[in-house]
Amino acid sequence: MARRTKTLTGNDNLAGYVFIMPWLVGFLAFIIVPMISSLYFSFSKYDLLSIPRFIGFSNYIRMFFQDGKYWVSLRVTFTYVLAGVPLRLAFALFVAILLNKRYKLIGFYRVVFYLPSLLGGSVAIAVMWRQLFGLDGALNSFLQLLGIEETISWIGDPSTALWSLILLHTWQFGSSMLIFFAGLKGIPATYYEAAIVDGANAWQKFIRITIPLLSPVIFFNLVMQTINGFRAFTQAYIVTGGGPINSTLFYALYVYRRAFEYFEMGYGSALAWILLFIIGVFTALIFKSSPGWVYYESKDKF
Amino acid sequence: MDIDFGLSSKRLISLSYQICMLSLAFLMAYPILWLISSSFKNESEIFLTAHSLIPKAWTPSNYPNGWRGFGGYSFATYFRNSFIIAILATAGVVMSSAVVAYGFARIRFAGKRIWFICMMLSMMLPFQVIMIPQYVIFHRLKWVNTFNPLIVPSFLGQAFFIFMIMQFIRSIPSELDESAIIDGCTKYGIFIRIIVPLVKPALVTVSIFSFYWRWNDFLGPLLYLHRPKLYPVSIALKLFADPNSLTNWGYMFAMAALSLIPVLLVFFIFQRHISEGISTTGLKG
Amino acid sequence: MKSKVMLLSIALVTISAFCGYSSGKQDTTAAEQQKITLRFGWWGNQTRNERTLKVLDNYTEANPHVTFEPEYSNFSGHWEKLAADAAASSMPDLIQMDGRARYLKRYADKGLLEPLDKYIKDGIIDTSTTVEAALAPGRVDGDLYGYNLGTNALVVIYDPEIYGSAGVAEPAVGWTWQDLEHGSQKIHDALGIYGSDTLGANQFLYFIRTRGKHILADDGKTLGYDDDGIAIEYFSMLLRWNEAGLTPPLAEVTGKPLEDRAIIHKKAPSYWTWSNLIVAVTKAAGRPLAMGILPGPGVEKGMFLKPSMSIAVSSGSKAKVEAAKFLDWFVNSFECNKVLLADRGVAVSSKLREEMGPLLGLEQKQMFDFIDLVAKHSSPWDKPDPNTSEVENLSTEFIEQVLFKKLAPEEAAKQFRTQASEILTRE
Repeated sequence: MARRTKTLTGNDNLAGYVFIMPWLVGFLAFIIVPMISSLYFSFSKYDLLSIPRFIGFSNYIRMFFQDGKYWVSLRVTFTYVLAGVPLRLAFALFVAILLNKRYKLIGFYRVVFYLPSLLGGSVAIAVMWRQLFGLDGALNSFLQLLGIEETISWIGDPSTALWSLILLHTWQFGSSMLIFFAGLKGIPATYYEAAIVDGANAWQKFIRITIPLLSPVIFFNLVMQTINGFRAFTQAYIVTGGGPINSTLFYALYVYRRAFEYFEMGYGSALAWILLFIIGVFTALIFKSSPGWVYYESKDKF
Repeated sequence: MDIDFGLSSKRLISLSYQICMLSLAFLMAYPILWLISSSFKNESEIFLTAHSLIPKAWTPSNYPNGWRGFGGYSFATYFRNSFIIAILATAGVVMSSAVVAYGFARIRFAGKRIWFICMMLSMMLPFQVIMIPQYVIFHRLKWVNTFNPLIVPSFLGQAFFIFMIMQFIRSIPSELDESAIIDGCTKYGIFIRIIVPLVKPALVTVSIFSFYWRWNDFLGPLLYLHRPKLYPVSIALKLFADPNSLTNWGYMFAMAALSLIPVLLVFFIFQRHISEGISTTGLKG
Repeated sequence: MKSKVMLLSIALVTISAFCGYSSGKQDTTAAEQQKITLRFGWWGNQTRNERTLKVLDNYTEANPHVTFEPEYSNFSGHWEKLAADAAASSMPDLIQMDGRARYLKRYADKGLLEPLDKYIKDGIIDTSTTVEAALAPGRVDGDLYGYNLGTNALVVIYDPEIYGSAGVAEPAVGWTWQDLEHGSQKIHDALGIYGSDTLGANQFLYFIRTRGKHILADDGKTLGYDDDGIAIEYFSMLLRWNEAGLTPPLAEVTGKPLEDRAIIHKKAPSYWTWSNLIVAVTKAAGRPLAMGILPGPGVEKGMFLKPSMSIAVSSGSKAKVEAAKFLDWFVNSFECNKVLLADRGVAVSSKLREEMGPLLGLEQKQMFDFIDLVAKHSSPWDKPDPNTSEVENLSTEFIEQVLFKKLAPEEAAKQFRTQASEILTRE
């Protein structure tokens, strides 16, 4: 009996490694070498067509002190993340709760709200978004219906282009919503029933039951959306191309440009590793804050 | 005494709720409706009448013309390739990610923190800077022009899904594990008998995600599939557009609209399984 | 101890991975084999893909020992793939290359492309009906790497009907920027549409050339013009037209595909672009259009002919002679080009152009005639430099800044010089 309890709480290296073996193999075979290679590239001049040449910290110095565009792309990306992530999560959570009932047409609504995220990075979505937010687009027609005559091209104007991309990002909240669904389903109905017996109203149910029990999933969505938000690439690449005037120059797009269009994979790698550092810091902060608000039923210590 | 205003306030709320939802749904669906309507428009009309959802000249021929594909390979070939990649990769990633997630979530072992951090780090590096070295590796393995680089790594877990399933597992009370151990279950048994059934919503979600990510992925196929007969739909769609000459927008929209169907079907079928949540009422409360 | 072992193995794996990196030239040891397969990579749309595939089949019919592995993709995908292939030392035998020397020069400099002069000398590639001037842009340091697949030039595509109904003289050799401005104003006043479509970096390049300078200096370390007045004049001109409503606002134009440009919707009388797009633009507009040479003064200095794209052979190819033979057939033979139908541009061989004459559609004939016209009023293209595209993109950014009123033309010209110098003097 004592021995069995020990295996539950003590180290079980064999089982641990057996279970994570698939990932470990993949990581060692396909991921770690490219990652370390790119770290090496970040300290070299590498144009993809010949051997990388070691140049020390030059790339990093150039990035921080000589590259104006770098700071532009940082600003653009931070704006995108700080505005887009909360917006998208809020919508996803709100709609997931709304659709967490059983009534007719629920399946239909779920599909409709999920549809946008299906379109991914197809060229079709680029054309569509440009059309919708262009000068003669649907948004302007809608505004004119409301009596607003003064219209601009939302996607062609440097002051609004980024927001149209943030809107695109928010519009595609379906995937985050899906994860919240799954989380909501894991909350036993008995909790709610007990709460009703105790006289709780909808808001109290939300705050005292839904949020805490959903917090591991909220945590997950927050971390992943932040990570992916910093790495956003496709929308800028296919819809605006980083313009106008670099107002939508996402960090990852800038990396791609320098690496592939200007054949500076070394510099691009340096940019990428700094991004990794930034994302790492943010993620670590979120992790550090988690004991304060994330509740695990399993009460385990990670 | 209740004064009857005709519509009771409850029904009014319910009605306005319905209207709200419908309007929101329309906003959500509008771009897709635009896509579908454009797919039935004549080439010359698409940009001319971009603000209208009704085609002036109904052109269903965009569909068979687009379906023709390129160089003798119709979209039947491209769809087939997409299905093979998406289905196999999804099957692999669900199984492997669940297994790895259990290891990280429930087992204590030496080096766990380090490996977990490695896994998180691997998600943070933009793919642009690792795609070339990765290509070199797969090239040395002679896997170019095969589906292997797109499918095999899925059987080795994917960080995003591993992390997600971990979070679901950690929502399961460890008392369940403990009682199973008392009943003589091993860690492996716990995994199969207890954890897997309880994270079914998460597994279903992983399937839906993985399917549509693989379905839409074009960078992997671009790099590793050089032979046009191996192209999936995601690549084929891009072939309609050329900056130096006319793009067949009508054909592209038609095929893009078609390519939405499998993903939608997968979602529609699977999402019901998310709804069937597992109750743990036996234990809680 | 364990971590040391881990570190060591990681180091070993990393080192061995580097052995796989491309180090430039590879020896061609294989002699021509009996049956060979040529990989041919290009970019294009449905039309080009289908026509090219057909000619590949035709070639195999005529030369049964040669089969092809076609590898086509979209434009950006093509370059991403090529970079990956270069890193893995497995480039296709035949590669469609650009005509801007952005990519061609880079790949040539690293020894990844095969110089074609030897095959010309040996008679495998026939250049007897092609003037050297047409091939010159494909040369890097004197060696020919990219064979011109179609000649291209800057053009203003315009609608003669609109010009006519506004009573404005059509563009012709010798017209000036002033003529353009007055004409645009007249069209704008008379018809209520834009007087012209927008101009950009390409026309800026041309503008500098008309003043006898180039965008980059010969040594590639500084801008090719010392007097910022040239840039200020150009930026101011664009700003002036924009403010007078003669050109569409930039916000309206950015990101619009060809099919959505103002000329298609009859909202502008012209479209400034490259000559090989006449076929596509006419088709999209659904009405006949004309091609005009750019305004002067200095039109002879400004205009230039360049390849729309070129074709190259990789230095790592194991079947170079066969690749060269195919290249010759691809660029010179009538059997091939009667199928391709000038989809990639105007052929460089005068004999081929003649043979193609009767087959050409109206727009293609227009294109051919236009190139003949430009040939008489042009001078050699700028020297290829790997930094050209970055500097050109930079100029686009500054034009945008001026047109969005973020910078005055003077300030823009100054900052452009500063930032361009930074790019050009970078290690």
